[in-house]
Amino acid sequence: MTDKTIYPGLIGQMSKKQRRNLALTSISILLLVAFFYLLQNGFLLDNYGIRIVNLCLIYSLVGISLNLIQGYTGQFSLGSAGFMAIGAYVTTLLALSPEVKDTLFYLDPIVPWLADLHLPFLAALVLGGVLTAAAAFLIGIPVFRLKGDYLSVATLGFSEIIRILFVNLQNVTNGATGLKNIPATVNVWWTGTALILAVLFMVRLFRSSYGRSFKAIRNDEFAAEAIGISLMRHKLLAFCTSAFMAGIAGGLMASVVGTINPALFRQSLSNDILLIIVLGGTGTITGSILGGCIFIIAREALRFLDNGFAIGPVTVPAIAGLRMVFFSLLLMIVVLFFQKGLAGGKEFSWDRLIGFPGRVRKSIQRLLHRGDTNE
Amino acid sequence: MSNILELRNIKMQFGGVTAIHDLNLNIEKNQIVAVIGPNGAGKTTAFNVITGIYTPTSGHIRYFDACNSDFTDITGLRPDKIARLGIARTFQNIRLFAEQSVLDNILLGQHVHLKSSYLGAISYFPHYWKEEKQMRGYAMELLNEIGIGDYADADAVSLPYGIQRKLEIVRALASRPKLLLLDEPAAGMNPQETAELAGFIREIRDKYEVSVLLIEHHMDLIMEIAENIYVLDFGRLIAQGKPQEIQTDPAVIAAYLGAEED
Repeated sequence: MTDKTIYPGLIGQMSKKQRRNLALTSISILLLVAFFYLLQNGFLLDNYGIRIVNLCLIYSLVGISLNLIQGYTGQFSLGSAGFMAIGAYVTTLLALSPEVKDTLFYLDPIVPWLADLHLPFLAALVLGGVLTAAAAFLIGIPVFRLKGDYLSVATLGFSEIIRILFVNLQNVTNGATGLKNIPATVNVWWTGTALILAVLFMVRLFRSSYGRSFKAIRNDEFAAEAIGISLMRHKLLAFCTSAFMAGIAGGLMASVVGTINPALFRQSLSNDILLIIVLGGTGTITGSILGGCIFIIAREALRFLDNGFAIGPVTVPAIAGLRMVFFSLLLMIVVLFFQKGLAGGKEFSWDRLIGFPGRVRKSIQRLLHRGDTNE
Repeated sequence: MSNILELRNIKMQFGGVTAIHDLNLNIEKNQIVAVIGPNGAGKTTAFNVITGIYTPTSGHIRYFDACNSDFTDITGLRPDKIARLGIARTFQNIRLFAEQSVLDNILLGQHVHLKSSYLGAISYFPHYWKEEKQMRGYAMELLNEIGIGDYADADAVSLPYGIQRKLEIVRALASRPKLLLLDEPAAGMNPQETAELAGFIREIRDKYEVSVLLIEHHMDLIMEIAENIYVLDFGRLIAQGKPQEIQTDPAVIAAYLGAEED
């Protein structure tokens, strides 16, 4: 029971069930790789579809990032958009070639030190994540000195400051015009790998003493501090890790979308991410991914709502943002009837999946039985 | 005997209210000391001052740090730093990590001694897994001690009330403290459970060589296990001494039963 974490990875020490789960995990990773391969080579979806899959994976990654700080550590952050913006701009500015930068900055030439800075995309992406984490560190130090929900206010303000800064730093970010012709380096392999790495990271984190401490802080800050957990240090660790992931997601998104400008990173983006984790379920990785995919797919599928449509004889005119009404409704339904989110507050596991038919049968039997006794 | 903790002229004011006036208190090594007094006497405030939740308005707290075998001034240190030095506590209203397992609660008590770095713990570094294994071994040992080894994977809140109290004490013990502060450990317990708790506290004092400072209202428990008693009333120390002395002290009787008017 408690010895289930003998040194992980030693197949010889695993129980039958653990070996079965390992086999299932390996098979599904292989299937996933095959899926990515088919997708990337255009056997399954067109370019538009591939873009949607990429966005699903990226938004899931941001969902995980927000869940780490909010769902697991209990610190309410509204800064996802700001962090994604930093990641996107840093990655793009470093990955764009000097020639492209020259053509983009026609209003005001780019600052000289940035003009010739050109890095391979992976290096630019990682640096984008690191700088985002550094920004989080700087916000975190003063905010985590205070007890209470000051993080939400601070991150809300930070996010807006970053956006306005990016609008006005004409010779660094090209202002409101934004950056175009971003190399389309990122494909499903990139986004898929990033998400898988993030999931692995989270799984390992929450099996370690640090992850336990994060949860303890969410459960009872007072008690956590009394048993020697430094609130400042652990909140900073969680916050910087979360920002790093958001930064990476921003960098990936820049390359997938091809164009970025400050308007892309408005507060509504942070709210979308919040919607994703509430929809999927706070405090679960499964919920973040479920929420991310549902959000992106629904947003595309419901595009017709914004363009005007007809229900029988009634014609609804084009109203921009009608899609968001649907999300509001969905959110209300989830908050009322699925408080733990669509993932049910539980993590995906093979044991649960295999046990699922049995559980359904049991609950149906229970329902039928209840019917008997009522009569 | 040498002291492990010394409070010198501690005064704690909240605005115009003085919760503690000029408190002097000593705890000797391996001693069980009790703080008693009517409600609102300032007992829990004293605990909060010792554990760093409040910084005293004036006065000093000295703690004998076994690591450099000398006294350190811990007045106003942050709670987690004080815990790190070896002072662990429980709370009047149980504060277990409710949504985490019994085992996790005990493991969290040991987090303070973790040597692995953040990234080291998350990567598959064997050094961390050695530490984790050790932590789990010690946690199971402690859980078996209070007879709930079989419930290691259960949610902490699913346990019966009395066991939750014990679990909280054991969580504090998991950090291998030198001084254990128990805030009303017998609150809500029946006489039989209280008697059992008395034995348990003495047992852990002997086995883990900790000094114990406890706040309690159950007089039978106090009289049975306390070796030294401090009596507070309205933030003032009104008596101090062995159980027999306290029982007959007129000031204490007056504080508890009300003074006779002439």
